[in-house]
Order: sequence, then structure tokens, then C-alpha cells
Amino acid sequence: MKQYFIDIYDTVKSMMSGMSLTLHHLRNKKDLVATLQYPNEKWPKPDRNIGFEHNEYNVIRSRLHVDIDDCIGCLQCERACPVDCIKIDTIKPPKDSDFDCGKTSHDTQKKMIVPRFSIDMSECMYCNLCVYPCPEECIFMVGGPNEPKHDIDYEYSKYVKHDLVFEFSNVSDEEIIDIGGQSYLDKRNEVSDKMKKGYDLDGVLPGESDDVSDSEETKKTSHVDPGFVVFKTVSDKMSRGIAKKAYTYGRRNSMDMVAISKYVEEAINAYNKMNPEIEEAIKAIVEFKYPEENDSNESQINKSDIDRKKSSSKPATEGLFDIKKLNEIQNKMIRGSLKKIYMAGKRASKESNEVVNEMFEFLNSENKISDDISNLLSSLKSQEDSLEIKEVSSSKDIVSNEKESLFDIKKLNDVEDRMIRGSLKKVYMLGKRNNLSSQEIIDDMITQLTDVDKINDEIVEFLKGLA
Amino acid sequence: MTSIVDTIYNLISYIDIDTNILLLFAIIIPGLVIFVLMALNVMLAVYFERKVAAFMQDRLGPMEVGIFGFKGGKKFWGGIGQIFADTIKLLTKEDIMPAGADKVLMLISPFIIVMGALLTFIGIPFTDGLIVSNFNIGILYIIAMSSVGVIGVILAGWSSNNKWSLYGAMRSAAQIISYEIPIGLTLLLIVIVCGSLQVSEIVAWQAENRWFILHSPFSFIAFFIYFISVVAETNRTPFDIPEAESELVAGWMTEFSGFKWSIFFMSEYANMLIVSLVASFVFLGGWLSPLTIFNIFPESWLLFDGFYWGVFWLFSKAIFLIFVMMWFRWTFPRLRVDQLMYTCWKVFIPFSLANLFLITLWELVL
Repeated sequence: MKQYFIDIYDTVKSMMSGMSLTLHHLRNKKDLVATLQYPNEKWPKPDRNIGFEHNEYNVIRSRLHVDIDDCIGCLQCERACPVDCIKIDTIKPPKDSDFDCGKTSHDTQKKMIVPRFSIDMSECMYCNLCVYPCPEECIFMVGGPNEPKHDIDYEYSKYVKHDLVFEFSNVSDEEIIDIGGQSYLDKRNEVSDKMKKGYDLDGVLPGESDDVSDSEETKKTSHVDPGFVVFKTVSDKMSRGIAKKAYTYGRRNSMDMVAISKYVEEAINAYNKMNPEIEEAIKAIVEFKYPEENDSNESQINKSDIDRKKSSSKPATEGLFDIKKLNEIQNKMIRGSLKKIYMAGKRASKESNEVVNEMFEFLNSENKISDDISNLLSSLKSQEDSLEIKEVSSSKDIVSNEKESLFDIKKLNDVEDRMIRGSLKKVYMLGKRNNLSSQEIIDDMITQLTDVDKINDEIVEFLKGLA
Repeated sequence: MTSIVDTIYNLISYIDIDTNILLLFAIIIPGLVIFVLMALNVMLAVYFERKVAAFMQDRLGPMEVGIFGFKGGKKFWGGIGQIFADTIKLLTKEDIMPAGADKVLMLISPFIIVMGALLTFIGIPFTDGLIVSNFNIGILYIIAMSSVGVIGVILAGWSSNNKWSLYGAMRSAAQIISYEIPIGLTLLLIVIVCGSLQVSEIVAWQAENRWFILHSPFSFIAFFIYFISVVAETNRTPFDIPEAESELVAGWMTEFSGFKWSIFFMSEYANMLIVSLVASFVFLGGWLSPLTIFNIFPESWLLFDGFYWGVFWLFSKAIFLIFVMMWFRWTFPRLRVDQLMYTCWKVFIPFSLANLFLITLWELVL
């Protein structure tokens, strides 16, 4: 009985103390509320002391920042980055241009512009290694000792990951064009166009469609891709779908037919759907032949296929003489039309003799035949009978001849305008690599100059003089 | 001016229609007013409770939701739009009916509960003379009506066809029925002293003498027995065993959602308001100002008494008691079932009976 009242007394007492505790928290909410209303309130900057002088070490690594006005585009930070999260593009103005890239705060004359300086903060691991090599001290971690340069910045969280790529460059498109970086811009636009296309496609390749269930769509795709005809004999819808999917996958990854058939078989086995119909269809994949497939896979298809083709098509195409031999013809008009005939003949897989005869007929009809040409053509006609090795060696000779006949690149140094000279040299090197003749290279140069509107009579004469 | 129904009936009695139809209107109008009052009560009380809970736990509670660009205070009392956001959310939520549920019972059980809560308001005054109907058995009626809800609770638990719901409902029934006894006994004490069951008579007795809480040591104890018992009867923490979250998910409300659940919610907060109002006018002088607490001040000092001040004082007292209930909730841990029963049958009922005996002696001697 005594315990009963003691219990009641204890209860009342503990109730009072408990309620006074909660009341204390309610009354002193101003001091005790622990919530930080984050976007409106922020914790103060952490004031850490890790055992040595705070100012000497960059202890707070909050975010990389670049003072882009000081950047000289030396790429030191890009090279130092262990995770390759810094991407820098630079454009150098042409030597004779008076484009002023400006000066850094250390009075260093900048020699190039930096149209791209992006740091992917989702990749950055805050190692600080990019900071030390910078000769202008323009890349740094914000906050800490760099407080005077840039406030500490915790809130660089973004809604999409892509936004974590911070772009620091402030170079405008006009400046890039001024400096002669049209090609850079074109390239950049091309990349962005491609990306945009990718976004628009939303992961679906053109021509590809969901061919599992819809019969109408299946018909359509089988029309586009004759490979699906093979599976028409399969009555089970499910296994047909699996097989078609596997087939499409193989096609997309440019497998050859044998590999595709193996892949399809594996896929079917994985679902335990193997039946005689499917087996037949898989066999048909390898055996089924349609011309475009054979063409595109010529180099990859197994040897038996190549052998089969050699017996049918190879003599026609490889027996034809090399088109480069026609380059010896000086007259541009005649050369062009002969080449046309040659191509037509090649497409029709005609023999060399036939092609040459056609050429003769053409020349006769146009009254443009000359001794040189007839000699050349008849030599071509005779070469047809010789061995393949000989043909290769002779073509090599011709190539070397052409190289000798090519004018020297140093001659181009006489061109006054640097821009033009550069582009001409480019065309020259391109032509040299492709074993073009001087005349052709000069033609290309003229067309190139016409394209960029830099052509004038002097240059045309000069170029013609080179040949 | 004895009751609202009478007043309204007299006001519209000049219209030449059948008396029964007029009476119907006279009843419907206060009913609607009380319903709107309850809806407002639940909206404000939820916000108030969330804020009190947050401050007692060193948090801030709702701070971000505003309405028409107005969020409330910057530091503590922000997030005023949470009231409307919660309401709209509850009313537009999907109403899910479990496949195995008893559909009819599940549909009517929330309405039985809220009906019990709303019917109680017929006997509850808001100030001197502002009462829907002034019974001469007001207290008895209030006790009777506040027990109607338990039928809805048992129906809700049974119809859900869910073990948690049924457990919750059985616990709730046991709890409510148990705690009816100390509530009845403590209110009986008041009835013995002032000799009337009529609410206006009880307050008039307090105006004449003193507040009941300070009438005698026994009525002082009786107030606390009453108050703790009504906390248990409204199923609030620390007596929320019927809906113990950690054991029974949500007890008898587990399978309810959307509008039906919001009806439960409304009835819970309506019950809180009811028991607080009853405690106010039975023990704390009702619509009388605090100056009348011992009736030692002269009449000329009582400037803050009157019809409109009465509403203010009554609701101030009720809101304070609601706050104390919230204070309880965020202070005490939940009782075990046996502790709950111990508290009721071994502490409150013996004390109430002793109180009843001693107050009669007190009245006889003094």
C-alpha cells in the first residue's frame, strides 16, 4: 500500500520534470532550434586548423576556379590533371595578324585565345595538382587562402550532371572568326549538331523499330532489311522475335553472317526456344545471299566466300587497268571524259580492252585523238594480258614518275599572303598524299581559293606557271 | 436567449411556412456553422500541433509552404500555407477500399465517429447563452454522445479486415470504455456540488462562488483525473495504444485513406476541442474572466466579462488545454496496455470514488 502511493508520487514528480524539460525547449526555441534553413541561411565558412599555418596551405578545396582573363593557354593544368577533367582548346592568331590577345595581370602578353576552358567538376577529385604548374596563378581552389580572389562556394550543386561541366572561356564567336578560326567553329558546330541529333533520336537508330510484336512493322523492316525474310518460316511468334532482335543486334555491330547466325542461335538457346524451324532459319542466314551484303562484307567474310567471289567478279574489276594511268593525259577535257568512260566501264565490270575501245570510239567521234593518247591507250590495252605483279610494278613506276613531275613545295613560298600560302600548302600536301599530278593539284588549289573568295589573276597565273 | 435553435426559430418564425420546416432550418443552420468551425479547428490545430512538436524537439516545423506568396514569419511561425496544402492533399487523395473489406461498414464508420463528435456540440456552450440547445441534462448528454464514437471505431476496425485494424479497434474500445468511468465519476462530483446537470447552471454556480478547480482539494484532484482520462479517451499520446505506430501501423485507421481518413482526423481534433471546452466550463469557470477565480474582486472590476469576452475566455482556456495535450504528447512515452489499465482501474477509479465520498463530507461540513 505504501508502495502504491510512492509510485503515484514518483509518477507525478517525473511527469513534472519531463514536462518542464519540454517546456524549456519550447520557451528557449530561439537558442535551441538546430534547423538551418539552408537556402536562406548558411553555415559560416569552416575555420580549420590542421596543425600548420593556415594561410600557407590551400586546405579548403571547394571548387576549381579559373581567372580566364589571366589564362595564356599553356595547357599545363590540362596535362597535370590526373583524371583529365580539364579540357582546353586554344587558337593562335596568324603570325602577321595584328589581333591583340591581351595581357594578363602579370603583364604577360597572351599569344593565343582560349575558346574552350571547361572543368568537369563531376570528375574532379580535388587533388589540387593543376594549381601548381600554372605560370599565371589563374587556376585555383576557391576559398581558404584564395579568399581575396574568390569567395568560397559550396553551392555548385546542379540538377543534371551535365551542368557540372563548368565553362570558363569568355571568347565570343566573332573573336574566333576574327582570329581565323572558322574551321574551329565549324568543327565545334558539327560536334554540337551531332550531339543534338543524338538527343533527338533519343537512343533509337534510324530505320530501327520495335520488331518484336507488331506484324505490320515487321513487314516494313523486312522490306528494308531482307535478312528478316529468313525468319518468315518460323511460326512461333516469340522465338521469331528473339531471333530478329539478335539478328538486328548483329547487324548493328557489323558482325559477319556466320557470327550473326551463331549469336542468334545463342539467343534462342538462352530462351530454350530451339525448334527445327528456327534451326533452318539460322542455317539460312549463312546461306542466304543478297548482293549488298556480299559487297559490304567483302573484306570480312570468311575465305570460302571470298574464293567464290574471286571466281565471278574479281577478274572483271581487278583486270581493269588503274585509273591513275589516265593522269598522264595532259588535256583536262579529254582526261575527264576518259575517266568518265572508265568509271562507267568499271561499274559495268567490263574488260580493259572493251573500255579502251570505247575510249577510242569516243575520241574518234570527238576528233580529239592524238598520238600521245592513242599510244597510252594502246599500252593500257596490252597491259591487260600481262601478269598482276607486273601491273603493280608498272603502276608504281607511274606513281614515282608523277612524284618527280610534281613541282617543289618551296615554290609556293613566293605567295605573298600568308593565309593563302597556308591553305595552298595544305592542298599541296593533300594532293601529294593522294598521288595527284601537278596539274590536278593546281586545279584543286584554284577551286579551293575560289571557295574562300581569295582568288585573283596574279595567283592563277602564278599557279599555272608552276605546272 | 436560451439557445441558438430557439433564437433562430424566433427570428424566422414570421415566415408563413409549416412549423416543422422552419424548425428544420433552425437546426440545419447551427449544424453547418459547427461543421465549418470543426473544419477550421482541425486545420489550425494540425498546424499548431506541428509547430509545438517542432519547437519541443528543437526543430522548426513547416516553414516553406506559403499562400499567395505569404509564408508567415521568417524565423519561427512560417509555412502558413501548409494548412491549405494539407487540406487539399487529404481531400484529393485516392480513396482506397481494400478488396476484402466490408464495404458498407467501412463507408459508414467514419461518419458514425464524426457524428458522435458533432452531436456533442449541441450541448456545449460557446459563451453565456450561446448554445445550440440548453438541456437541463447537458453534462449527461455530453458524456453519452462522446461515447458514440467507440461504435464507429469498432466498426472501422472490423470492416477493414486487417489484423492491425482489429487489434487497434479492440484496444480502443477497451480503453474508451474504461476511461468513461473516471470521467463520469469526476463530472458527477461537480454535479453533486452544484446540484444541476445543466451547463449554464454549473457556470452560474462558479460565477457565484469560485472556480471548481479551486473549490476544494478534491475537485483539484478531480480536474487532473478528468483531464488525463479525456486524453486517454481521445486516444492521444501517451495513451495512443489503439493506433500505436510502431506496433499497429495506424491501428483502426490503417486501411483508411483520403477523405475517410480526413474525417477521422477531423473527429479526433473535434474531440480534443470538446473535452477541452468541457474541462473549461466545468472546472475553469467557462466564459468567466480569470478575475472571478475566487470571486474576491468587486463587481465593478469585472470589465472583461460579457457575451463576447465570454467567447474569448472560453476558447482561451480550451486552447490552453489543447496545448497541454500536445505538450503531453511530445513529453511522455506511450504506456503499455497493462499500465494503461492499471492507471485507470487501480488509480483513477479508486481516487474518484474517494473524491466523491470526501467531497460530500466537505459539502456537509462546510
